Amino acid sequence: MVNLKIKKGHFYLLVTLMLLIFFHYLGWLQPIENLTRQIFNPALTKLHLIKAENITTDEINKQQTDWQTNWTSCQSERQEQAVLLAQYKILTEENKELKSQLNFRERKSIPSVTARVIGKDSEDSDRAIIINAGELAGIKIEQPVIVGEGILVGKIIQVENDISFVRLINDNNSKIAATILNRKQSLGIVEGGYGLSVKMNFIPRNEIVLNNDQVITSGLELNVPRGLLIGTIAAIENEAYQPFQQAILAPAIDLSKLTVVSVLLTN
Amino acid sequence: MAWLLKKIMWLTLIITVIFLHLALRDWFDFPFNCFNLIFLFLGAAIIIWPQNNNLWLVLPTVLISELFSVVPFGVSAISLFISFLITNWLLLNIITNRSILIVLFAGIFSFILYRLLFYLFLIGGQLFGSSIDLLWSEIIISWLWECVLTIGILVLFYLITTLFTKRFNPSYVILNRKNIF
Repeated sequence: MVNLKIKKGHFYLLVTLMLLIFFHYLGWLQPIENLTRQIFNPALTKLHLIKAENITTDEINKQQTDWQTNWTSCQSERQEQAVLLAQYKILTEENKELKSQLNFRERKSIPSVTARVIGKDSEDSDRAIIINAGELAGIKIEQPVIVGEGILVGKIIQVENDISFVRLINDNNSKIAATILNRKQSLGIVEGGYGLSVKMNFIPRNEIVLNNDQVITSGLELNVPRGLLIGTIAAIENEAYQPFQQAILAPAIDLSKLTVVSVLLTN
Repeated sequence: MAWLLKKIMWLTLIITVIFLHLALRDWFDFPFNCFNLIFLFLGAAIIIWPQNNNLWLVLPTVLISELFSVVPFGVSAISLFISFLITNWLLLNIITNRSILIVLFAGIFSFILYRLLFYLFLIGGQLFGSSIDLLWSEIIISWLWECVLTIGILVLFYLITTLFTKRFNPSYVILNRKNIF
Protein backbone atom coordinates (compact mmCIF):
# COMPACT_ATOMS: atom_id res chain seq x y z
CA MET A 1 0.00 0.00 0.00
CA VAL A 2 1.45 3.31 -1.09
CA ASN A 3 1.50 5.98 1.60
CA LEU A 4 0.15 9.21 0.13
CA LYS A 5 0.08 11.16 3.40
CA ILE A 6 2.39 14.18 3.66
CA LYS A 7 4.92 13.77 6.47
CA LYS A 8 4.68 16.17 9.41
CA GLY A 9 8.32 17.22 8.93
CA HIS A 10 7.71 18.04 5.27
CA PHE A 11 4.66 20.08 6.17
CA TYR A 12 6.68 22.10 8.71
CA LEU A 13 9.41 22.54 6.11
CA LEU A 14 6.94 23.84 3.53
CA VAL A 15 5.40 26.24 6.06
CA THR A 16 8.87 27.49 7.12
CA LEU A 17 9.82 28.02 3.48
CA MET A 18 6.62 29.91 2.67
CA LEU A 19 6.98 32.05 5.81
CA LEU A 20 10.60 32.92 4.99
CA ILE A 21 9.65 33.94 1.43
CA PHE A 22 6.74 36.00 2.81
CA PHE A 23 9.01 37.68 5.38
CA HIS A 24 11.53 38.43 2.60
CA TYR A 25 8.93 40.33 0.59
CA LEU A 26 7.85 42.17 3.74
CA GLY A 27 11.49 43.18 4.23
CA TRP A 28 11.74 41.63 7.70
CA LEU A 29 14.71 39.48 6.69
CA GLN A 30 16.68 42.49 5.37
CA PRO A 31 19.23 42.58 8.27
CA ILE A 32 19.95 38.84 8.02
CA GLU A 33 20.18 39.03 4.22
CA ASN A 34 22.53 42.02 4.39
CA LEU A 35 24.70 40.21 6.94
CA THR A 36 24.83 37.06 4.77
CA ARG A 37 25.82 39.13 1.75
CA GLN A 38 28.46 40.95 3.81
CA ILE A 39 29.91 37.56 4.77
CA PHE A 40 29.89 36.27 1.19
CA ASN A 41 30.89 39.44 -0.69
CA PRO A 42 34.62 39.70 0.26
CA ALA A 43 35.27 36.04 -0.52
CA LEU A 44 33.32 36.27 -3.78
CA THR A 45 35.27 39.38 -4.77
CA LYS A 46 38.53 37.51 -4.15
CA LEU A 47 37.31 34.53 -6.18
CA HIS A 48 36.33 36.86 -9.02
CA LEU A 49 39.69 38.66 -8.90
CA ILE A 50 41.56 35.35 -9.16
CA LYS A 51 39.72 34.69 -12.41
CA ALA A 52 40.04 38.24 -13.72
CA GLU A 53 43.78 38.42 -13.08
CA ASN A 54 44.54 34.87 -14.17
CA ILE A 55 46.62 34.94 -17.36
CA THR A 56 47.54 31.50 -18.68
CA THR A 57 50.90 30.60 -20.28
CA ASP A 58 49.20 30.34 -23.68
CA GLU A 59 47.92 33.87 -23.30
CA ILE A 60 51.44 35.13 -22.40
CA ASN A 61 52.93 33.41 -25.48
CA LYS A 62 50.17 34.82 -27.65
CA GLN A 63 50.78 38.28 -26.20
CA GLN A 64 54.49 38.05 -27.07
CA THR A 65 53.82 37.13 -30.69
CA ASP A 66 51.16 39.79 -31.00
CA TRP A 67 53.42 42.45 -29.52
CA GLN A 68 55.64 42.91 -32.58
CA THR A 69 52.76 43.16 -35.06
CA ASN A 70 50.98 45.56 -32.74
CA TRP A 71 54.08 47.73 -32.44
CA THR A 72 54.45 48.16 -36.20
CA SER A 73 50.78 48.94 -36.65
CA CYS A 74 51.01 51.40 -33.74
CA GLN A 75 53.72 53.35 -35.50
CA SER A 76 51.65 53.84 -38.64
CA GLU A 77 48.59 54.66 -36.54
CA ARG A 78 50.64 57.25 -34.64
CA GLN A 79 51.39 59.09 -37.86
CA GLU A 80 47.72 59.01 -38.85
CA GLN A 81 46.76 60.26 -35.40
CA ALA A 82 49.13 63.19 -35.64
CA VAL A 83 47.23 64.32 -38.72
CA LEU A 84 43.91 63.65 -37.03
CA LEU A 85 45.00 65.59 -33.95
CA ALA A 86 45.69 68.63 -36.06
CA GLN A 87 42.27 68.29 -37.71
CA TYR A 88 40.68 67.78 -34.29
CA LYS A 89 42.17 70.99 -32.97
CA ILE A 90 40.81 72.94 -35.91
CA LEU A 91 37.38 71.33 -35.47
CA THR A 92 37.37 72.03 -31.72
CA GLU A 93 38.00 75.69 -32.36
CA GLU A 94 35.34 75.73 -35.06
CA ASN A 95 32.88 73.90 -32.79
CA LYS A 96 33.52 76.33 -29.95
CA GLU A 97 32.86 79.23 -32.24
CA LEU A 98 29.65 77.73 -33.61
CA LYS A 99 28.41 76.83 -30.12
CA SER A 100 28.90 80.34 -28.89
CA GLN A 101 27.02 81.59 -31.91
CA LEU A 102 24.10 79.21 -31.25
CA ASN A 103 24.08 79.91 -27.49
CA PHE A 104 24.57 76.17 -26.94
CA ARG A 105 24.16 75.11 -23.34
CA GLU A 106 26.97 72.85 -22.09
CA ARG A 107 25.78 69.36 -21.28
CA LYS A 108 26.12 68.56 -17.60
CA SER A 109 28.44 65.68 -16.84
CA ILE A 110 26.49 62.66 -15.62
CA PRO A 111 27.19 61.64 -12.00
CA SER A 112 28.40 58.10 -11.51
CA VAL A 113 29.01 55.50 -8.81
CA THR A 114 32.09 53.30 -8.86
CA ALA A 115 31.63 49.69 -7.79
CA ARG A 116 33.61 46.48 -7.59
CA VAL A 117 32.49 43.29 -9.38
CA ILE A 118 31.94 40.52 -6.85
CA GLY A 119 30.72 37.64 -9.01
CA LYS A 120 28.04 36.27 -11.27
CA ASP A 121 24.34 35.53 -10.84
CA SER A 122 23.71 32.13 -9.20
CA GLU A 123 20.92 31.19 -11.62
CA ASP A 124 21.36 30.41 -15.29
CA SER A 125 18.27 32.19 -16.64
CA ASP A 126 20.12 35.52 -16.74
CA ARG A 127 23.84 35.91 -17.25
CA ALA A 128 24.42 38.87 -14.98
CA ILE A 129 27.29 40.08 -12.85
CA ILE A 130 26.94 41.30 -9.28
CA ILE A 131 28.45 44.62 -8.15
CA ASN A 132 28.93 45.80 -4.57
CA ALA A 133 26.80 48.98 -4.77
CA GLY A 134 23.04 49.16 -4.64
CA GLU A 135 20.02 51.28 -3.95
CA LEU A 136 21.77 53.06 -1.09
CA ALA A 137 24.34 54.43 -3.58
CA GLY A 138 21.57 55.80 -5.80
CA ILE A 139 21.59 53.00 -8.36
CA LYS A 140 18.33 52.28 -10.21
CA ILE A 141 17.17 49.79 -12.82
CA GLU A 142 18.10 50.46 -16.49
CA GLN A 143 21.08 52.69 -15.68
CA PRO A 144 24.08 52.07 -17.95
CA VAL A 145 27.26 50.53 -16.56
CA ILE A 146 30.61 51.58 -18.01
CA VAL A 147 34.31 51.08 -17.53
CA GLY A 148 37.04 53.65 -18.10
CA GLU A 149 36.04 56.87 -19.80
CA GLY A 150 32.91 55.48 -21.42
CA ILE A 151 33.01 51.86 -22.59
CA LEU A 152 29.54 50.39 -22.12
CA VAL A 153 29.52 46.95 -20.48
CA GLY A 154 25.85 46.53 -19.56
CA LYS A 155 22.76 47.81 -17.82
CA ILE A 156 21.38 47.45 -14.30
CA ILE A 157 18.55 44.89 -14.15
CA GLN A 158 17.99 44.46 -10.42
CA VAL A 159 18.90 46.49 -7.37
CA GLU A 160 19.13 45.42 -3.74
CA ASN A 161 20.19 47.60 -0.80
CA ASP A 162 23.89 46.84 -1.04
CA ILE A 163 24.33 45.00 -4.34
CA SER A 164 23.11 45.33 -7.93
CA PHE A 165 22.86 42.95 -10.88
CA VAL A 166 24.27 44.06 -14.24
CA ARG A 167 23.19 42.44 -17.48
CA LEU A 168 26.27 42.44 -19.71
CA ILE A 169 26.05 43.40 -23.38
CA ASN A 170 26.92 39.80 -24.37
CA ASP A 171 23.92 38.36 -22.50
CA ASN A 172 21.13 36.79 -24.59
CA ASN A 173 18.54 39.17 -23.16
CA SER A 174 20.61 42.31 -23.68
CA LYS A 175 19.37 44.75 -26.33
CA ILE A 176 21.00 48.17 -26.83
CA ALA A 177 20.20 50.83 -29.42
CA ALA A 178 23.46 51.55 -31.25
CA THR A 179 25.01 53.55 -34.07
CA ILE A 180 27.93 52.64 -36.31
CA LEU A 181 30.40 55.45 -36.84
CA ASN A 182 30.35 55.12 -40.64
CA ARG A 183 29.33 57.65 -43.27
CA LYS A 184 25.61 57.06 -42.83
CA GLN A 185 25.73 56.64 -39.03
CA SER A 186 23.86 53.32 -39.43
CA LEU A 187 21.45 52.44 -36.66
CA GLY A 188 20.85 48.98 -35.25
CA ILE A 189 20.36 46.89 -32.13
CA VAL A 190 23.30 45.33 -30.29
CA GLU A 191 22.45 41.91 -28.85
CA GLY A 192 24.40 39.25 -26.99
CA GLY A 193 24.75 35.55 -27.63
CA TYR A 194 25.18 33.06 -24.75
CA GLY A 195 27.65 35.37 -23.03
CA LEU A 196 30.15 34.57 -25.77
CA SER A 197 29.55 37.04 -28.60
CA VAL A 198 28.05 40.42 -29.36
CA LYS A 199 26.25 41.11 -32.63
CA MET A 200 24.50 44.08 -34.16
CA ASN A 201 21.22 43.42 -35.94
CA PHE A 202 18.78 45.46 -38.04
CA ILE A 203 21.42 47.41 -39.97
CA PRO A 204 19.85 48.58 -43.25
CA ARG A 205 21.23 46.51 -46.16
CA ASN A 206 21.98 49.47 -48.41
CA GLU A 207 24.36 51.14 -45.92
CA ILE A 208 28.07 50.43 -46.19
CA VAL A 209 29.59 48.96 -43.04
CA LEU A 210 33.29 48.17 -42.85
CA ASN A 211 35.40 46.11 -40.50
CA ASN A 212 36.92 48.11 -37.62
CA ASP A 213 34.14 50.71 -37.73
CA GLN A 214 33.36 51.75 -34.17
CA VAL A 215 29.94 51.12 -32.62
CA ILE A 216 28.55 53.51 -30.01
CA THR A 217 25.25 53.89 -28.18
CA SER A 218 22.77 55.84 -30.28
CA GLY A 219 21.13 57.74 -27.44
CA LEU A 220 17.69 56.66 -28.72
CA GLU A 221 17.17 54.64 -25.56
CA LEU A 222 15.92 56.03 -22.28
CA ASN A 223 18.71 56.43 -19.68
CA VAL A 224 21.55 55.47 -22.04
CA PRO A 225 23.36 58.58 -23.32
CA ARG A 226 24.75 58.78 -26.84
CA GLY A 227 28.43 58.10 -27.44
CA LEU A 228 29.29 55.24 -25.10
CA LEU A 229 31.66 52.92 -26.92
CA ILE A 230 30.41 49.35 -27.37
CA GLY A 231 33.05 47.85 -29.66
CA THR A 232 34.24 47.58 -33.23
CA ILE A 233 32.92 45.65 -36.22
CA ALA A 234 34.74 42.33 -36.58
CA ALA A 235 32.69 40.67 -39.35
CA ILE A 236 29.69 41.57 -41.51
CA GLU A 237 26.95 39.24 -42.74
CA ASN A 238 25.00 40.73 -45.65
CA GLU A 239 22.84 38.01 -47.18
CA ALA A 240 20.74 38.77 -50.28
CA TYR A 241 17.65 37.03 -48.90
CA GLN A 242 17.59 38.92 -45.59
CA PRO A 243 16.05 42.36 -45.13
CA PHE A 244 18.81 43.59 -42.82
CA GLN A 245 22.51 43.01 -42.48
CA GLN A 246 24.16 41.77 -39.31
CA ALA A 247 27.58 42.49 -37.85
CA ILE A 248 29.64 40.61 -35.30
CA LEU A 249 31.27 42.99 -32.84
CA ALA A 250 34.53 42.78 -30.94
CA PRO A 251 33.71 44.32 -27.53
CA ALA A 252 35.97 47.20 -26.54
CA ILE A 253 36.89 45.36 -23.32
CA ASP A 254 37.12 41.73 -22.15
CA LEU A 255 33.76 41.33 -20.43
CA SER A 256 34.81 38.23 -18.49
CA LYS A 257 37.56 40.08 -16.65
CA LEU A 258 35.77 43.11 -15.26
CA THR A 259 36.84 44.12 -11.78
CA VAL A 260 35.76 47.75 -11.33
CA VAL A 261 32.86 49.44 -13.10
CA SER A 262 30.96 52.74 -12.93
CA VAL A 263 27.20 53.12 -12.97
CA LEU A 264 25.93 56.29 -14.67
CA LEU A 265 23.15 57.73 -12.53
CA THR A 266 21.06 58.81 -15.49
CA ASN A 267 17.51 58.61 -14.13
CA MET B 1 27.08 19.38 21.83
CA ALA B 2 27.43 16.69 19.17
CA TRP B 3 24.13 17.86 17.70
CA LEU B 4 25.40 21.43 17.49
CA LEU B 5 28.69 20.34 15.92
CA LYS B 6 26.80 18.32 13.34
CA LYS B 7 24.65 21.32 12.48
CA ILE B 8 27.73 23.58 12.18
CA MET B 9 29.34 20.99 9.93
CA TRP B 10 26.29 20.91 7.65
CA LEU B 11 26.12 24.72 7.54
CA THR B 12 29.82 24.90 6.60
CA LEU B 13 29.23 22.34 3.87
CA ILE B 14 26.24 24.31 2.53
CA ILE B 15 28.21 27.59 2.51
CA THR B 16 31.12 25.85 0.72
CA VAL B 17 28.74 24.45 -1.89
CA ILE B 18 27.20 27.87 -2.51
CA PHE B 19 30.67 29.46 -2.80
CA LEU B 20 31.79 26.81 -5.25
CA HIS B 21 28.56 27.12 -7.24
CA LEU B 22 29.01 30.89 -7.57
CA ALA B 23 32.72 30.44 -8.39
CA LEU B 24 31.96 27.88 -11.10
CA ARG B 25 29.34 30.16 -12.62
CA ASP B 26 31.91 32.99 -12.60
CA TRP B 27 34.99 31.09 -13.72
CA PHE B 28 33.65 29.04 -16.62
CA ASP B 29 32.12 30.12 -19.90
CA PHE B 30 29.08 28.65 -21.63
CA PRO B 31 28.26 25.72 -21.68
CA PHE B 32 30.29 24.66 -18.63
CA ASN B 33 28.83 27.42 -16.46
CA CYS B 34 25.44 25.68 -16.87
CA PHE B 35 26.60 23.03 -14.39
CA ASN B 36 24.42 23.35 -11.28
CA LEU B 37 26.43 22.37 -8.19
CA ILE B 38 23.57 23.18 -5.82
CA PHE B 39 21.28 20.74 -7.64
CA LEU B 40 24.06 18.14 -7.61
CA PHE B 41 24.60 18.56 -3.85
CA LEU B 42 20.89 18.35 -3.02
CA GLY B 43 20.37 15.61 -5.62
CA ALA B 44 23.14 13.54 -4.04
CA ALA B 45 21.58 14.00 -0.58
CA ILE B 46 18.05 13.19 -1.72
CA ILE B 47 18.47 10.73 -4.61
CA ILE B 48 21.53 8.74 -3.58
CA TRP B 49 20.83 8.72 0.17
CA PRO B 50 17.06 9.35 0.38
CA GLN B 51 15.98 10.19 3.92
CA ASN B 52 13.10 12.38 5.03
CA ASN B 53 15.40 14.74 6.96
CA ASN B 54 17.61 15.46 3.94
CA LEU B 55 14.87 17.66 2.46
CA TRP B 56 15.65 20.26 5.14
CA LEU B 57 18.94 20.91 3.29
CA VAL B 58 16.93 22.60 0.51
CA LEU B 59 15.86 25.41 2.82
CA PRO B 60 19.21 27.09 3.74
CA THR B 61 21.00 26.11 0.52
CA VAL B 62 18.51 27.58 -1.92
CA LEU B 63 17.49 30.55 0.17
CA ILE B 64 21.13 31.70 0.59
CA SER B 65 21.92 31.15 -3.09
CA GLU B 66 18.81 33.14 -4.04
CA LEU B 67 20.36 36.23 -2.42
CA PHE B 68 22.77 36.24 -5.38
CA SER B 69 20.18 35.76 -8.11
CA VAL B 70 18.17 38.03 -10.38
CA VAL B 71 15.24 35.62 -10.28
CA PRO B 72 12.40 36.71 -7.94
CA PHE B 73 13.08 35.47 -4.41
CA GLY B 74 11.50 32.11 -3.61
CA VAL B 75 10.91 30.86 -7.14
CA SER B 76 13.93 28.57 -7.14
CA ALA B 77 13.38 27.45 -3.53
CA ILE B 78 9.74 26.47 -3.99
CA SER B 79 10.27 24.68 -7.31
CA LEU B 80 13.32 22.81 -6.02
CA PHE B 81 11.51 21.84 -2.80
CA ILE B 82 8.43 20.50 -4.64
CA SER B 83 10.59 18.67 -7.16
CA PHE B 84 12.73 16.98 -4.49
CA LEU B 85 9.70 16.27 -2.26
CA ILE B 86 8.05 14.29 -5.07
CA THR B 87 11.32 12.56 -6.03
CA ASN B 88 12.01 11.70 -2.37
CA TRP B 89 8.51 10.23 -2.00
CA LEU B 90 8.96 8.19 -5.21
CA LEU B 91 12.33 6.87 -4.01
CA LEU B 92 11.03 5.96 -0.53
CA ASN B 93 7.70 4.42 -1.60
CA ILE B 94 7.70 3.30 -5.25
CA ILE B 95 11.20 2.83 -6.73
CA THR B 96 13.01 1.71 -3.61
CA ASN B 97 15.74 -0.17 -5.45
CA ARG B 98 19.04 1.70 -5.98
CA SER B 99 20.87 1.28 -9.27
CA ILE B 100 22.52 3.47 -11.86
CA LEU B 101 19.31 3.54 -13.91
CA ILE B 102 17.20 4.57 -10.92
CA VAL B 103 19.63 7.39 -10.10
CA LEU B 104 19.61 8.48 -13.75
CA PHE B 105 15.81 8.36 -13.91
CA ALA B 106 15.35 10.15 -10.56
CA GLY B 107 17.93 12.78 -11.52
CA ILE B 108 16.33 13.55 -14.89
CA PHE B 109 12.81 13.42 -13.42
CA SER B 110 13.61 15.81 -10.57
CA PHE B 111 15.54 18.12 -12.89
CA ILE B 112 12.76 18.35 -15.48
CA LEU B 113 10.16 18.85 -12.75
CA TYR B 114 12.33 21.54 -11.11
CA ARG B 115 12.86 23.48 -14.32
CA LEU B 116 9.21 23.15 -15.41
CA LEU B 117 8.01 24.48 -12.06
CA PHE B 118 10.73 27.15 -12.08
CA TYR B 119 9.64 28.60 -15.42
CA LEU B 120 5.96 28.12 -14.57
CA PHE B 121 6.49 30.29 -11.49
CA LEU B 122 8.50 32.79 -13.52
CA ILE B 123 5.70 33.07 -16.09
CA GLY B 124 3.27 33.41 -13.19
CA GLY B 125 5.53 36.11 -11.75
CA GLN B 126 5.39 38.03 -15.04
CA LEU B 127 1.66 38.40 -14.55
CA PHE B 128 2.43 40.17 -11.29
CA GLY B 129 5.02 42.51 -12.81
CA SER B 130 8.30 40.53 -12.71
CA SER B 131 10.65 41.77 -15.45
CA ILE B 132 12.52 38.57 -16.38
CA ASP B 133 12.66 38.11 -20.17
CA LEU B 134 12.32 34.51 -21.29
CA LEU B 135 13.97 33.52 -24.59
CA TRP B 136 12.76 29.95 -25.03
CA SER B 137 15.27 28.82 -27.66
CA GLU B 138 18.20 29.82 -25.42
CA ILE B 139 16.49 28.48 -22.29
CA ILE B 140 16.04 25.02 -23.83
CA ILE B 141 19.70 24.89 -24.93
CA SER B 142 20.82 25.94 -21.42
CA TRP B 143 18.43 23.35 -19.91
CA LEU B 144 19.91 20.57 -21.98
CA TRP B 145 23.47 21.51 -21.07
CA GLU B 146 22.55 21.88 -17.39
CA CYS B 147 20.78 18.52 -17.41
CA VAL B 148 23.58 16.67 -19.22
CA LEU B 149 26.36 18.13 -17.05
CA THR B 150 24.59 17.97 -13.68
CA ILE B 151 22.91 14.58 -14.04
CA GLY B 152 26.01 13.13 -15.73
CA ILE B 153 28.15 14.10 -12.76
CA LEU B 154 25.44 12.91 -10.31
CA VAL B 155 25.52 9.44 -11.91
CA LEU B 156 29.32 9.47 -11.90
CA PHE B 157 29.26 10.47 -8.24
CA TYR B 158 26.85 7.60 -7.50
CA LEU B 159 29.18 5.14 -9.27
CA ILE B 160 32.20 6.34 -7.29
CA THR B 161 30.38 6.27 -3.95
CA THR B 162 28.94 2.76 -4.56
CA LEU B 163 32.45 1.60 -5.41
CA PHE B 164 33.54 2.55 -1.88
CA THR B 165 30.34 1.78 0.02
CA LYS B 166 29.71 -1.62 -1.62
CA ARG B 167 32.61 -3.08 -3.59
CA PHE B 168 35.47 -1.86 -1.39
CA ASN B 169 33.48 -2.08 1.85
CA PRO B 170 35.31 -4.55 4.16
CA SER B 171 32.14 -5.30 6.18
CA TYR B 172 30.92 -7.50 3.32
CA VAL B 173 34.09 -9.57 3.46
CA ILE B 174 33.80 -9.90 7.25
CA LEU B 175 30.14 -10.92 6.90
CA ASN B 176 31.00 -13.54 4.29
CA ARG B 177 33.75 -14.99 6.47
CA LYS B 178 31.36 -15.30 9.36
CA ASN B 179 28.87 -17.12 7.14
CA ILE B 180 31.54 -19.50 5.80
CA PHE B 181 33.12 -20.37 9.13
